[in-house]
Amino acid sequence: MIQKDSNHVKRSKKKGAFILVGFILLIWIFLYYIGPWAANIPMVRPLLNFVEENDIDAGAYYYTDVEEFAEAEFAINQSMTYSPKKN
Amino acid sequence: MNENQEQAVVDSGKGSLSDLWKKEDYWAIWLGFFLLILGMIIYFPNAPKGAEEQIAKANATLKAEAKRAPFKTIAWYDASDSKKKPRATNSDIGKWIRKFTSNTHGWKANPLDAFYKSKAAVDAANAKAKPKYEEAKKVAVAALAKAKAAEAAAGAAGFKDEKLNAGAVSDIAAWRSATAKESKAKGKASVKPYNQIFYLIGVMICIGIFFGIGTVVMGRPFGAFFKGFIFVFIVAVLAYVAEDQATAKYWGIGYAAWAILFGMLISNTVGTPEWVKPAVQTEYYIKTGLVLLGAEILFGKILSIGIPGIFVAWVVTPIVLVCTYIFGQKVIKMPSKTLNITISADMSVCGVSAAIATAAACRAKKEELTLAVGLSLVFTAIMMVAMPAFIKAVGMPHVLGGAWMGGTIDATGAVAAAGAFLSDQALYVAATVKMIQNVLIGVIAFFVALYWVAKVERVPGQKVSTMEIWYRFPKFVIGFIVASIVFSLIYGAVGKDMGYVIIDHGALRGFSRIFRGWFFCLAFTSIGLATNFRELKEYFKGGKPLILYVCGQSFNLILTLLMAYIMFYLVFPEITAKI
Repeated sequence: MIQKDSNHVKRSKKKGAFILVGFILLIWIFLYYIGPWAANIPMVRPLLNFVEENDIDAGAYYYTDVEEFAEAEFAINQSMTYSPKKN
Repeated sequence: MNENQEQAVVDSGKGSLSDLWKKEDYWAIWLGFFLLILGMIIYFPNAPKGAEEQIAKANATLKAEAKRAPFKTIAWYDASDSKKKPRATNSDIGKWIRKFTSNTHGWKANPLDAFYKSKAAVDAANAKAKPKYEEAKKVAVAALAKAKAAEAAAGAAGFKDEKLNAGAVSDIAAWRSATAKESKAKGKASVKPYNQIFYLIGVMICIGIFFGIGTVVMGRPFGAFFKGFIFVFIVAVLAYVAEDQATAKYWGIGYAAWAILFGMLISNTVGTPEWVKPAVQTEYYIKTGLVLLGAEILFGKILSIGIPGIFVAWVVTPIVLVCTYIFGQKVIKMPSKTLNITISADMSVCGVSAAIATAAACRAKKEELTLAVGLSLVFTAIMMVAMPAFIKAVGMPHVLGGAWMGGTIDATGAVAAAGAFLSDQALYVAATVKMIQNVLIGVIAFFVALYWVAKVERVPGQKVSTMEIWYRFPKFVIGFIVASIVFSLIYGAVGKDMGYVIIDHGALRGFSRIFRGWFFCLAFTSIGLATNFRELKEYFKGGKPLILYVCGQSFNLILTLLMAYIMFYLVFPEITAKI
């Protein structure tokens, strides 16, 4: 009985390892093929090219994680405090 | 007794003094405060020499130039640029901390580039990028000459000729854009070689010991924790590696999604090894990270763009949050209140960070947080692409478009991407509105925690005493709020200019943010390692979470656009004119 259980665990571990490798392969396919292919869809391409060229961290979660936010906040502060007087 | 009754608030809760060192919530506070105090000790005395004089000089120039011309002159921009240079993070210790605590580097085809790049490889990449930099430099020099000539011509006419003024504004904008491109090209042509492996091992040991101390005092063995921690840390590093891959980066798939995915793949295929489980401490990591996040919630920032920003971010957002929650309960009949509020906060406030804070405040299940993060990820990618395209197509003014995107796109990074893609003006407004919304997390977490212990978790009809509310209240939220109040007060006391030097670009961006990132990544890895895919599927039954998200976001889109238009164009057009 114990021998049977141990064989079953081994088989299920093996199956799990195969599934894990399969998923890793899927991730690899996404990162190397599907993602770049989808990024070439005309509606999407300009924005994603811009993000890549400017090295923007589009996945950041908080304002302190993004350099552009520091720039923007600084620029807005200057504009609000030292706004040129219009004619 | 069912699960709900077990969680119900009854007048029997008791606290004891030993909770201060035996409970995870308090440990999150002590550890978080320790890092915040350490950050202050390191950075507050390390403001660059002469920073105050440099800022004062720049302010004088800005004031004089603002009076001299009806537009932002070249000298105005030069003064502004010189003002933002002094940063405590540029001190020697700041640079060392950045180098030591960095996660992984960007890469495209070879994952090893995330950890190591030789001098030869870097030199080759720099040489390849150099011609582009030289070209950008030339363009910037030419643009500056043109801008100077245009400004001089406008000045010669006493800044009274509208046509000449407009010409100068346009040429100065072109020079700013060329300078920004030059700066980016310079960055790509001056990469330095790196070997992050030993630093990562150092970070792992430091963080392992850091959390290990609390683990020991709470009565769990250090050895078992640390052994498992090595595994959790390695999976967290892999999440950072995936985030730094070029495709993942431009699609905005951050470490949270990767950490959950990798953790889930392991736990649902080969299984999370037993010896790893002592280190799968989701709440411990998440609460400590949230106390650190509290310091980044600076209330002084909510006035950055004046009253319109407050209306768009602080009036619309709570309305959308409450309405979506009620809609979820009454109309969709969400099976779980905690899932409902986590998705509502995630969608209406600012995606993952709001979801983490709200889920922790109401003690949502890890599967519920996973679901909220997944929904946010998908819709952020869609909105990041669709919104700027729509704004461009209909010719919407960029201030309005920026406010709209800032108030509705979940992920902060995606707001930066979509805003910058439209224009600098759109980026400034979008980022500022989003930042003000980020600050709202503290208030929302506090009220959700309070509402949950006082209303949701009590037995129907039973009155709950103030003491009972205190016993049940998640204590780390107190640490989170205290950190926010203390840092807001310091920020207010030193003023915006010096706050930028020693807080924004010192204790926060140079210290607490780095550790907060690591702690959240460890937390999401732990969530994945403890999540059963079958259980997760149960939460999505009937597609109710998706319906809730779509309905809430549609309402958010309409209300934010309406409020932004009213505030920026009807009530405060003078503020819009300044941007």
